[in-house]
Amino acid sequence: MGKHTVVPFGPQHPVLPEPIHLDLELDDEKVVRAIPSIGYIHRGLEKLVEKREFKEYVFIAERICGICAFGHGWGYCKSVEGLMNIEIPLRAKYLRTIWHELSRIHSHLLWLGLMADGMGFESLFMHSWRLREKVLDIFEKTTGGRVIFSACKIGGVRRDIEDSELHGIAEILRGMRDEVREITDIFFKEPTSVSRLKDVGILSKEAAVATCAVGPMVRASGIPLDYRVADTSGVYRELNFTPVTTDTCDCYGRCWVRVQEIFASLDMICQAIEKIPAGDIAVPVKGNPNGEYFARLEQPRGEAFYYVKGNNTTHLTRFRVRTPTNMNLPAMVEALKGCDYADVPMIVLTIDPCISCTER
Amino acid sequence: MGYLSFAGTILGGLFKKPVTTQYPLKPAVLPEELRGRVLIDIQRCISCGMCMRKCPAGAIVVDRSAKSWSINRFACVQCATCVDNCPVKCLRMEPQYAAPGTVKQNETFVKQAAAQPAVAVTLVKGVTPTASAPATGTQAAAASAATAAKTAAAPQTTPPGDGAGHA
Amino acid sequence: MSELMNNLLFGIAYLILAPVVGGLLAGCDRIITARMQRRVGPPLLQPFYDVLKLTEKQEIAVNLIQDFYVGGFLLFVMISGIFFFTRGDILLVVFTLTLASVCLIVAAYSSNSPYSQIGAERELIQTMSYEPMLLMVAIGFYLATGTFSLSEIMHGHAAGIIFLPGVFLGLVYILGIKFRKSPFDLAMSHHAHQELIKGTVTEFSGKTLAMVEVAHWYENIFLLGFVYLFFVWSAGWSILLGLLACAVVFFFEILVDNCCSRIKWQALLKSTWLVSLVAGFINLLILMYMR
Repeated sequence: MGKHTVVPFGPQHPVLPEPIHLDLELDDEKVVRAIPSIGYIHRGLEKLVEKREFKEYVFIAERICGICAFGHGWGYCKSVEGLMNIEIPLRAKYLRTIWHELSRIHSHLLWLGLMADGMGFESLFMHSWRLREKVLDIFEKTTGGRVIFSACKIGGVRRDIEDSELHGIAEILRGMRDEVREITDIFFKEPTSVSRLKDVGILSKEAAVATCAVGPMVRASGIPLDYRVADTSGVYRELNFTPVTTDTCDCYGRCWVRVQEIFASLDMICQAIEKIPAGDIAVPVKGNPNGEYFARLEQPRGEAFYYVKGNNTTHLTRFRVRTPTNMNLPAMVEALKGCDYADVPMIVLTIDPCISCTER
Repeated sequence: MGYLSFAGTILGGLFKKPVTTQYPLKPAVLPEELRGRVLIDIQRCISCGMCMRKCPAGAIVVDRSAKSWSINRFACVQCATCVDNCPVKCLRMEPQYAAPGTVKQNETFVKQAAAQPAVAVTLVKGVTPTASAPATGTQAAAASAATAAKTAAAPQTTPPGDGAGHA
Repeated sequence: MSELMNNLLFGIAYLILAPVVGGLLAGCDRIITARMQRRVGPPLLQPFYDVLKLTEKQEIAVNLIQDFYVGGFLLFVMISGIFFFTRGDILLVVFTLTLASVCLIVAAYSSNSPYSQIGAERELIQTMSYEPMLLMVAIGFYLATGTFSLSEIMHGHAAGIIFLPGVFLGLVYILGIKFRKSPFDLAMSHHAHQELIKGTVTEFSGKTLAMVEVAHWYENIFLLGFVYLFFVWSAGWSILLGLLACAVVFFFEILVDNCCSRIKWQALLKSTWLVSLVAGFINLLILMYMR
């Protein structure tokens, strides 16, 4: 019988990217159980939908989270457009897809940096974020903001990107491939990193299905669950895309899945830039939303649902987001059982927790 | 093996220039499309109050009778909804962020009958503006009950009404 | 008589100059690390500013006895350094250093925070890992030169490195543990981004933490002195060679810090004992046969 301690992990902890509280019951250095509690960053954003007109609420929806900001803005617009039967122009769909895939790249590079930092590898953290700056500069130039874009609106997008600029972006992204490969190879080649990632946080296929995990968490357990395959209204059908899966079921696999997704997104953006048609970027919106609708999106962390309900006034009555981290938290608690204390930051980071999204 | 496989990049980094920008020692280089802060051409404003109604953060206050337009820069989220919805297009986004400050304050622009627009700065929480404000006779419309006067604690913002670049 | 005066002067110089040089080394460390990461880095004197700022901060301690033990840590590090620089007995130096790390461990145990408790356990495991190697350094010098006395080792007829290459490699391996650098910064890291927050020193604040910082500067200088020992002999110019070796080893530690992530305690124990066995012990066996 080892020494039994309870370590309060979070909500303020330097290794955690977001405020989540875990009570870790330790036996010497082995975690017996992890009891999570959330609620530290609840801001009541869903209640705020009753107080803002539906056309302005998009700015609040995109501020649910800083990392997946574009996704939330798009998800909200998609659900309201579906509710009001608005068909947005094809160019707007392409632009949204390009921004969303760029958002995925920046989110995964951010996550890679945090993973390196959690492992104690600060220089890799700094280099990953140096690469991410290039993507943020693209955002600043095209949307006007580095983190919060305010690019989506009901009916389309607010700003256009000229074709010359699109080709410039494609050039930058092609140049980034080699640098990204140089940095991400270190995760898989450096023996100290591999020892921290391999066989850590095992989530078997059955456990992944039982806890309803989504996103790279479940794709690393061998299940090809990716909404972009099922999306009929978007442009993913036109782009050459297959979900990235592996079946190692551990942190190494999830790291690998996210790195491959970066390269897949780089490819998809270049393809979208080739195929984008000329045309309008928005259609006018008339009338008020009435009824219920929900839309789905593949955020960098997994599948997200956006449900809206309107009663023919300018204010919606209900907006509900089911975020991917919501579903991955039970999977994380499951993976934490029986691990070493030193693996706790690895496993917490491996679900890419976005508690701001979860708690809104 | 693979031990020290990162050494190439690390040693190379020693001989390359740092990528961090030297702001604020050197001025920031910001792109044209940046949503920095909202500026108004007050003489063209018709005080319809559309921007005030549409603002998701409630940062704008328009007083029709006093013909003033006031913005709380610390509440503004730079979404440019006011710019999009203005019927006379007198608002624009400037690619320069609002200056940081030590006191939360509103910035008020008042439409003058004469040629010169006047700018006054009012401080919320009832602090009297300091004497060096370049305002002419008309003080700002926002009520400022002078209770406790904070002496010289508030930094004066330069009047940006004419769209000068650097605050 | 003059040799006694000489040794005393060295001891006093160590007491006064070691924190200054140690702080400057720490400053260089941070600037070099920053440049390796394509950043600019802090000013050179930043560690001094940090220590001064720490002394001005309010101290919040759960159990005030930790101040006594941290004071003991600083005192024993200074004493080990003085013994080393006054050319005393190398075995005594190693044991006094052990006493210093025990003081730090008890200080960490004395506060009831779970982070410092686990940090103290990890610190104990680290001590178990590097102690055999340090002892092998002392024994190696005895086998190579026939004495434990530092003044005779430093005026020997040949550089220590020629007889003790394996022991030197083992020493460089465990220096990472003592310098608190990746991959061995389990118990206490320079950065607080680990699962134990700051590990052993989580509960220290204010003047206590400033004492720990200064003790680390003393310790770093005196550990680099161990490296110096391998490269000096009776020739006068060997002093420069020794200093160059110290600089190279210091830069190598920074490079390894930036190229590795942190390993777990099981891997630390295994790898350090393996290196001590292969590099150190075999070297000692060869020396014993040669005698």
